[in-house]
Amino acid sequence: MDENTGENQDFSSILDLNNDDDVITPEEVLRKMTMIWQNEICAPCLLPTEMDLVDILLDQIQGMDDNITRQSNKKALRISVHRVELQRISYITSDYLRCRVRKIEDNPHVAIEEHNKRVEGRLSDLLSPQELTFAEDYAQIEADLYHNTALEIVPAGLRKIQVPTTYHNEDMVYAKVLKDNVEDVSIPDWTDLNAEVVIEMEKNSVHLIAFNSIKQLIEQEDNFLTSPLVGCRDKNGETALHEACLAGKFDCVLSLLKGGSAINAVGKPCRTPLDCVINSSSGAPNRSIVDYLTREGALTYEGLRNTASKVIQRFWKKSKLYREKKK
Amino acid sequence: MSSGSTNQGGVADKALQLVLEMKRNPDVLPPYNTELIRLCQQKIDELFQKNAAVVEQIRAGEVVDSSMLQPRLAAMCHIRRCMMAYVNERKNRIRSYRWRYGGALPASVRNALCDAEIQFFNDYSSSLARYQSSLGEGGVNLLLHTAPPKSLFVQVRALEDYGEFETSDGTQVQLTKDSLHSLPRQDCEMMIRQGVLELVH
Repeated sequence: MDENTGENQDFSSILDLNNDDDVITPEEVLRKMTMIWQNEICAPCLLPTEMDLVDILLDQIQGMDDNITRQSNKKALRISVHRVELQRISYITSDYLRCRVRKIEDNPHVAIEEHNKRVEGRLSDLLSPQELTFAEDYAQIEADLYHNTALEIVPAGLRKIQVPTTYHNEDMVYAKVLKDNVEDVSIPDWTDLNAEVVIEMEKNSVHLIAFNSIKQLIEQEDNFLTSPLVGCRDKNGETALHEACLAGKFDCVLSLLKGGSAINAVGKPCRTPLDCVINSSSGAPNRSIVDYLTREGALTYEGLRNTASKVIQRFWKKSKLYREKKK
Repeated sequence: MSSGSTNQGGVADKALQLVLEMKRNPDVLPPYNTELIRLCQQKIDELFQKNAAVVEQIRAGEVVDSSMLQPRLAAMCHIRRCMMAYVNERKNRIRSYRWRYGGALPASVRNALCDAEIQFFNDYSSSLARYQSSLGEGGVNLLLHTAPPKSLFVQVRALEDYGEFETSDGTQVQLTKDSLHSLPRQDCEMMIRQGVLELVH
């Protein structure tokens, strides 16, 4: 069912693109934005800009905000839910923009150079006009700083230095195949320099692969989601955090949480990561993990259910039905 | 090595100290070390003069020992590299202050910067502001929404007498020292960063 509607939407958006952009549904925009955001975070270098999408979303955030302020009953549950959703969308867009700013600042010269290369090759723009201005500004400011502090005082022959180049082509990323019929990817075979290994890209398979090998696919067909391990679930719906907790690996827990893993994720076996540590397979529970998790707001499955039921009860007591029943 | 006991140690010792200074203070920004930079500059100048003298002699057709030319050049480049690393690391930290405090630096940080760095901070600040205001129709404040939202309201404690504060939904609150409030997250994000409010868990 879900899959069908998904395909229909894709189809309609392709049709719409030919005559009118405005008909893309908000859901579609948000779905795309989430994916682009995730890709941008996971990719080791800048991906082509998607500023049009950001503009649409910024516009919609403004619209929704106005809508909410017009509502009379501000305490209604519906309004709160809308507000949280609005904040989520705002977070995604801001974080996407921040991530790009960070990457531009890391090496503005390389960003500008790559952008110009893409313009020459008639590919989609790497930087939006605003980002390009920012990159140029920043490169200038940075050069001024270097000049005024260190380079000014050394002999003239030593004043020029090379712009460092950073190549991310061999960086490994996690990538998930999102569509059917994706062409095979060939990667170099390191045991034989003349050979290549062909990897089949089946739908829903996840690969740990050099970024370079799938760069084209990410850009052109948005077939791929470079998805971090934090978002993946196994067949029982459990996350990598569950695994790390079961194994009692503190460093893994730390880096997964830092990467944004959901702290109270629950899969089919009805247990949160905290439950996993407490009932750890390797004997006594690891105290430091338990302490850390509780400090970060982790709950046991029992606790999670209690909190949820309390929230529901609170709203239930406020509702009309409850008051009428009491009478 | 030739000047004997008075000048023990390597050529790049001072330069190395610069880098170590940043490495040993990962959380605070030490004051800009003008003295060490000056010593590094002196060292480079000294090496440069020595090389220049040798080149001069070669040009004049004298027979000289030119074996130290390359090592001296390498030493100069090394010292320069250390200086650049020092400046670069400080630049990264100054940049992170823009994201933490917004456009106004607290005095404690400002005192640790040299003129060129203050200039950098101001320029960076304004170019970022320009970029932010060019986004969308009314601009976006990228300093807001820095964490994934988990709840609409957060519990905060006021750390100073701030006075009247109006939240985005129009309610007025009086922020006096040590008073507790439940405020919309996006309203107080900036004030938490400025140190007016503190999150209560």
